[in-house]
Amino acid sequence: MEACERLRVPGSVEGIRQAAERFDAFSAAHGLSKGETWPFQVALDETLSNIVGHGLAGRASPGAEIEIELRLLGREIEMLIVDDAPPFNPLEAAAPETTALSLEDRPVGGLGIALVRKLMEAVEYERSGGCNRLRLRRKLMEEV
Amino acid sequence: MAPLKILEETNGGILVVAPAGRIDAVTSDEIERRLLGLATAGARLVVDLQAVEYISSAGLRVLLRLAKKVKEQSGRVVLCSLGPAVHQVFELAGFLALFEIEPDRGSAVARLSGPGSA
Repeated sequence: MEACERLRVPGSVEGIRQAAERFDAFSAAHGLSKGETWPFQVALDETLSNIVGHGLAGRASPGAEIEIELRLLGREIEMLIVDDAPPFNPLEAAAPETTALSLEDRPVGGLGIALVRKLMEAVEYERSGGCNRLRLRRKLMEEV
Repeated sequence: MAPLKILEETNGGILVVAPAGRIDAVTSDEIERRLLGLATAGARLVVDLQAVEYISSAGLRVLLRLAKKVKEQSGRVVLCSLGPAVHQVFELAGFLALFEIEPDRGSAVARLSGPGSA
């Protein structure tokens, strides 16, 4: 099965909500269950909240948009997320220490990118045409 | 408003709360406000995650803040009923070791009712 959908959402929390709902609709339209697709929802949430909270934060023009392309290729999904915020390559961001710290010592935050990298099988970043282009891909989860 | 059911208060004063749907960047502020409001002095809370579709780092941060606040208030919190998606994110984030976690609500309530509970 192959399918592709492109969407644009505002660079805001409302845009993150729209993207999650559109992803759900895309999955449902192709007969995919939430048990198969949740890693993409988590990765989308992490990526978009980074863009909205950091990349686009403080931008003078409120009209910033994020482009998302969803592709179903057999048993794989690929997501391409494009924004025109300042360059940010999540592959160069250090993964935070997630195992050794006690509750009191654990810093709040810093986990999102590490989760994306662990949940996805392929994460590719490219800066081109003044945009950050992040491509995320993995096969569907096997439902237990 | 993000759905957050406050299910029952047992005779022993244990409060069971059950967020539902997604705990993500969109819903986490509301869920945090409501959960942290329950972390009063000596509170004993069970957070039942059975109805949670998935959790992202925004949601993990909420649970971390809840655990910290509960501890400051000399209370105790037990999480239960983690589905496969929630469990895997906990595992990848190194969160399984940070919380008291039980397989179901009954065992979570029992853990808070037992000896040594606050």
